[in-house]
Amino acid sequence: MRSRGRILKNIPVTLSNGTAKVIISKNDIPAGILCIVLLNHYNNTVAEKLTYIYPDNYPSVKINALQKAYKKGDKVVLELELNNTGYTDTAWLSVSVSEKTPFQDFINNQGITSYMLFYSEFEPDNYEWDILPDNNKRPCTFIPENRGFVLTGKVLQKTDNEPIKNELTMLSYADSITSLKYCYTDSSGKFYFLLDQSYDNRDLILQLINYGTGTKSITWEIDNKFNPYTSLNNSTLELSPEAIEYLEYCRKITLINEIYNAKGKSNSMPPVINNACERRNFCGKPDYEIYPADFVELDDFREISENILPGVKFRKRRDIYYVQIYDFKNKIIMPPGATVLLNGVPCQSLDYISSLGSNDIKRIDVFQSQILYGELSFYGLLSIHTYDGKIPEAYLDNHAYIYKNEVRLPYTFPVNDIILQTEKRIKNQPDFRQTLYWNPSLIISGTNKAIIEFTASDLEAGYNISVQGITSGGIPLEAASEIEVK
Amino acid sequence: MKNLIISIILVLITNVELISQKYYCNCTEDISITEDFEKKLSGRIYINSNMSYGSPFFYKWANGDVIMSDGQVVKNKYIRYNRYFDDLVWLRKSDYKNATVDKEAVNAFIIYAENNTPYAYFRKTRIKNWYQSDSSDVFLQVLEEGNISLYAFRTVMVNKNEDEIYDKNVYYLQINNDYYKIDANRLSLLRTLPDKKAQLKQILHRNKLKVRFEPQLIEAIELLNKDYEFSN
Repeated sequence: MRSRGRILKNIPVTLSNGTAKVIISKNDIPAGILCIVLLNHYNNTVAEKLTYIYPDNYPSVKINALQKAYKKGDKVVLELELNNTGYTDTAWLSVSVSEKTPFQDFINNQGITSYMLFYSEFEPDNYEWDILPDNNKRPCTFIPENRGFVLTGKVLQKTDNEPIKNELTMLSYADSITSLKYCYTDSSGKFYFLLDQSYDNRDLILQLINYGTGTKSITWEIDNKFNPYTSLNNSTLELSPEAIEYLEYCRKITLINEIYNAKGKSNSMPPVINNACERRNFCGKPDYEIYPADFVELDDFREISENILPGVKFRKRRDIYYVQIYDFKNKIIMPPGATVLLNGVPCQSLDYISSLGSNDIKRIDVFQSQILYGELSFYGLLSIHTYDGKIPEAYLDNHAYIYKNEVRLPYTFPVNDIILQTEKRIKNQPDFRQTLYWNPSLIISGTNKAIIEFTASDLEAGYNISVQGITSGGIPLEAASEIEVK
Repeated sequence: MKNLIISIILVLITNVELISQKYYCNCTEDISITEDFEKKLSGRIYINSNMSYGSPFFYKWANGDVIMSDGQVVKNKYIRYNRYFDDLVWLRKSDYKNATVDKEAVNAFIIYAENNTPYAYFRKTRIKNWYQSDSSDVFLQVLEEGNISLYAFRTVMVNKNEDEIYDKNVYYLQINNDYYKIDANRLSLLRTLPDKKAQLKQILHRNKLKVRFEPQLIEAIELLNKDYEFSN
């Protein structure tokens, strides 16, 4: 049994006729979320249950609005404080201030407390749990993602939809630092990649490296983990005239906001680069780096290899280009077929590489020995970085599948919101924000208070203030209030 | 803690349907897949060019765990420490190829004995060697850790005829994040720890320790650390 991040009790259980009963005193378990895990004698998890222990002294969060009504563009100040919490307790809260809608009744907008209470235990003295055999056991739809996001999918032949088995699948992205992952497809053509934060918000390039010359004849099917239920039925929602009018009103506001905020607006999130200094090439440091701009201009890659890349042979034999590298340290000529990376992505089209000259290439990293990477061997590596840092679209069309790994980063409400809105007012721009404030990660510790400041918009309406959260002890917190802009 | 709570909330809120169906995970078949997620070791092919008598390696080929610079652990690989080049060498079981693991990517490694008990623990540490103008990263074997830590730099030296290599161990004491090179003798130890001279003399006398040999040197530092813990 686990609660508040630590193991509370280990109770040995012996099944009798496939069942068992566990009884534990109420005093032995603190209030909050309790996780009960059943392990077999191999220490493997057999079953898990989450339950919620109702607290005797229920903590709460209080919203203090200095005023109930504000004028357009006024500074709004809210104060949040905790009641009945210990000095060492911390509360993680999400706070939103948004316009009231006529859809409140349609949307089942239950708060966190109601969900917790749904799984709560109300036994007066002892808690009892029955361990019963479960006949509905079924395999996981997807493998657990406790270590990060797992990109999974299938590779099939386009002609007959047969899975492509046991093929080397590589995952990479265009960057100045080479990050390469690989796996072999299984008997059903499935591949699996565990992705860390450095893969967030990048165009991930999947390639079958040894599968023919191109992948035009391949179908890539990426698993969609976000909508696995197809059994949900659509239903018709009858809107009242008031609701229809409100939707039209929202549409107009959105249009106005789009016009004024179009400049500089970006829908895509940037990649995570905070750990860039810690990242390194998967294969370490190169033996040498060449910057073609330091030399006389050379027209194509063959000229570059012949003149400024010692120990690198780039030739054409029977209309096929190949790269061969000499290992200076061990004095070995490695077999032809050195791996070529273009901006960090394995490049199978040496015809394209041959067309690159000094004006295209910024830097060439040469690895002049055999490199072992997991179960793979590279007979030398040539890593070419171009000025534009991109992979040509024609190459991607023929050889790769692109997966846009869009990840919504934790949102932080602009701290300079008041300055931004003031600037807008100076420029006489309208401010029709329907959500005045949103902070999904506001932290309050102990008896401290949190002060929230934002500006009221130009929309005359009533606004709901909603606070939802949880304490470090696992107690849900919920509060609501209202303000008005006149 | 925060992540745990958030994940519990997500489980509660988004998987209401799953929980209400008493859904239990049967994930044993996925274990082999998750093993594939382990970070991969990478390195340059290693060809032994040493023609001298004697082995440049510390211990034999053995199972080991490699702790990478990013904190990830690569488990159960055949590894060996090359004392000559101060490098970690990895043997790929599938084709018996050897590679020198990229030193920058490694933080530490543990070598296990045949009965799967830890035999030696090496940690990459930045120290100043007399033959280098600046401090550099080397793999030091951790012999004792505590208020005072003892490390050994396992290296080899070549004889005058350059036909034989022999063992050379250099010991370092770490006190308050500073490293002091010591010799395995009583005088060197007492000089390096002047403020603990009386205490150390007492320990050596009481336990009849002659710190000329490594096990006794380790024991002396261990007893010194215990004394420190006891007095605090």
